[in-house]
Amino acid sequence: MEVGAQIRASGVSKVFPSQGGDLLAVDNVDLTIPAGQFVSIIGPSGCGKSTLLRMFADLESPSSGTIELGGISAAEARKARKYSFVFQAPTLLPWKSVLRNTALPLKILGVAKSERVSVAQEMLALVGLSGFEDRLPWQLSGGMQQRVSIARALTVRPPILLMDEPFGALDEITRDKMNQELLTLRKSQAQTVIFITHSISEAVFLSDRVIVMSARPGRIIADLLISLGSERTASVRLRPEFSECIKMIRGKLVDAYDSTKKSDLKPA
Amino acid sequence: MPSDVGDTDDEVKLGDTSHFVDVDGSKSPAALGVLRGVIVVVGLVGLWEVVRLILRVDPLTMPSVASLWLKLMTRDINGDLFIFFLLKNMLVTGGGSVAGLCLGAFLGVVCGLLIAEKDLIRRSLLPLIVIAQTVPIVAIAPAVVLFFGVGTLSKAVVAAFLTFFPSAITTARGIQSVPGETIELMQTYNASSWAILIAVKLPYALPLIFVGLETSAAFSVVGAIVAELPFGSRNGLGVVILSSWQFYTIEPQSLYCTVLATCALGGIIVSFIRLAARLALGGRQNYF
Repeated sequence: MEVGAQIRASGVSKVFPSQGGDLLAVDNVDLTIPAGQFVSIIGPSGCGKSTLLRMFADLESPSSGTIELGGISAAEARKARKYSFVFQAPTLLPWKSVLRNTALPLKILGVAKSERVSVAQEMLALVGLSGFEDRLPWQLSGGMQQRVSIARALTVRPPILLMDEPFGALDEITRDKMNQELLTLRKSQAQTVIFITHSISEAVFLSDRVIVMSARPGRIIADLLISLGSERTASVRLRPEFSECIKMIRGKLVDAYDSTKKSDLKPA
Repeated sequence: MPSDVGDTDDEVKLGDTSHFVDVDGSKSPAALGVLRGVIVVVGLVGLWEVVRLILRVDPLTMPSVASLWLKLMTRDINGDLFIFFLLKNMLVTGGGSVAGLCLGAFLGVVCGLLIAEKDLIRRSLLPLIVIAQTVPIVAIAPAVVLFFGVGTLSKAVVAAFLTFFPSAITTARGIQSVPGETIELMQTYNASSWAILIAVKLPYALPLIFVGLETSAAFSVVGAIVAELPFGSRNGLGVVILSSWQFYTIEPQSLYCTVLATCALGGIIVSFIRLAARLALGGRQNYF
């Protein structure tokens, strides 16, 4: 069982300098995620949720505020491989086999080949891709490619998983299937997960907690615990509590979108 | 098995890691390729003859294919066949072309890397390189020969000058074509920029670099010939072209045969580049 790590953001803001004046993308976000929690962040397009995630990954640095992953700064956490990042695109190297793609992080780390191969095989088995080791990425479907990228993320056994709309490009049936698999996976992996998504039902189905962000500048406008239990199968979607959660988040999101309109009307 | 003809059918079979060996080893597509080549040559010869006969073109402008063949088979004072004379000169020019191609491609790839990676170099060097492309190489060839002497070095320098640009531009473009997310992925592994270059950027750029090399290969022959045109050269296809110019009104066959020899030389060098590309890339053309 992999152990998670706590994530903390305090007073985090991000300003992007642009021609028409500075653009405030993330505004004063305070967030503490306990070790092992699965948190989804949902919000209107361009609300800064990806920017927030990228700051956790040290791919962007906050303009103000501090970020801690497992008690150390985001930059230190990146250097210590405390997290793995899963992008919306599978971002596999097209000329490398599934096995080699999966083992890539270990290769960069300088892990010996035999161990690389065995760990990569183990992770591929976890995502149900045993027997596909020698395939090349273009020979796999989009869903399978994304599973490879999740297996790759798990090879370094990170305490934290940062996922930026990983299933956003998949069709709905495949997405539901991937959601189910991700939950199954979490029975053996207790990482802390931050999961960015546009899909309300995906967020509710997967998460212990859903955070709703407002339109730009991105602020946290709702922070909801999802108490659907840890055993979640397709039938959870049919339960009244599930619909209740969806309805509530939908309401918050409508507010968030309305605030977009108002801010659009304001003179710049 | 792939049912397609020729060299387009290097499809990778599922789970097969040794695909390129398999493709090169399959005999029947290769035989079909030869057949296709023969058909194209016969077709071109036929077209040439038909145009010549129907339009009644002066044989000084369009000599018959048969007369070209006869010219190739004539012997000079020493009793050597003209075709062997051409082959000897092809070797001389080819040496300069290949040396220039290697030099130009090496400098081009290195420069392309720098252009892609360093903003300062892109901004300061790239305009210069582009402008340098407009220098009429025929005009400055005498200066090059004066400076580097008559021989392989001059040919290599002019050939390198022509091959540098395609290699540099395709390398730079190839490296810039790496998806930003892939670079970021490597950064999340805390990979050094050197590791990113070797593991991601260069392999991504490789197919495009080979496109540049193929273009360069053809240019390198032109470059080597141009370096043979000024004073002093005794051997090489450029020298044969010069003397054929002088006798064109008497015997145009000599010039046409030399041009064909030049094409053959370019074709041979391009084929080697293609072979190298196939060995280096395997079946990668399929998924790029």
